Amino acid sequence: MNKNEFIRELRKQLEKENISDIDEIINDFEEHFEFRMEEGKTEEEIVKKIGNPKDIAIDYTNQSMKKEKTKKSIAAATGLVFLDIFLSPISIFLWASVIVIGVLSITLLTLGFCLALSINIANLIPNMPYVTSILFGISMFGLSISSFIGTFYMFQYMKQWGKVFFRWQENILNKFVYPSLSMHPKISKRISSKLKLINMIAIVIFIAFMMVGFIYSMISSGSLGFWHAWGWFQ
Amino acid sequence: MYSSERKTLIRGDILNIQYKKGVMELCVLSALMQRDMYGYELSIFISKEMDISDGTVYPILRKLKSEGFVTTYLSEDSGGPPRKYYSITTSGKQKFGNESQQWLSFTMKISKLIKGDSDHE
Repeated sequence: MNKNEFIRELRKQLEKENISDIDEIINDFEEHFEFRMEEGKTEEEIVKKIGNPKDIAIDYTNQSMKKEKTKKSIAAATGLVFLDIFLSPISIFLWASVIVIGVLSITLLTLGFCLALSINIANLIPNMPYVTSILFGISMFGLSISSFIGTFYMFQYMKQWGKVFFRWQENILNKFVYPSLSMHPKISKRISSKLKLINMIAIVIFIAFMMVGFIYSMISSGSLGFWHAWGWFQ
Repeated sequence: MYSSERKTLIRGDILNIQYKKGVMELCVLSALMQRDMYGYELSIFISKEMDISDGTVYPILRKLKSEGFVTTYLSEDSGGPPRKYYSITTSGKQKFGNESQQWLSFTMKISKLIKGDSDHE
């Protein structure tokens, strides 16, 4: 007898004995085959050692497994469907926020480039001296990098929360108890410490260059409100 | 069909299997007292010592689970597909404590009895 024949026979015997959760039992045995085969045993050898399907099925009969479970899980499933309908707008909103922050990061990066290289697309950037433009441009780079990192974290958290929620629902519906997942996404320590450092540097660059930019602009225009001197917002 | 010698041999085997199944629960609990294991590990652990079919352990695990002496959880730590681990519960530990005590005193009495018998012969 090979693996498939054994599994088929076991399923038949279990059905004959009217055992509940047959799939779960079959799963255990399939796993057993996988492990044994990894050790280099042939299917026939494994079947020989595993025992007679009929005996195994009978071993399962002297146990009382409650069959009401299905009724309960139908009620639970209905409840969960309503919860899902209620929660989906919130989820869509949060995912949309991730996308917005992502787009913002790209915009900031583009703005940084335009400023640093003095490229003025459609006259969106007000008139300013070249040095100011470079300083603000670098500052925007810093902000965009920080914003990219923020997007990355938000994305990871949203993904993780989705998984946590899914696992929670699965646990309610299934008889299997899966370990509940952590609310925090798995980001390797190496990467997360690097990201933190980069983020810090980016923020420092953003603040420092912004300040230097402001001060330079004030001095060069000779006015505290340099934007008036250069005729912005008119 | 069978010769009478072979018949007794088979009956002896069946009896032996029944003995083993009786103490399997205790063996499974004892293994799980050491650490959490997945089903296959337990099957190997026990069939190594007891010369019993590999499949015997699974019905026992399910029975212990349905009675609340063990719980299962899936662990994905090992990288591969998630494995179903078995872990002993507090009531399982209590059961193990009681039954191992009973088993030890029982076997002690029996071995004394058997030795006593053979002494008289």
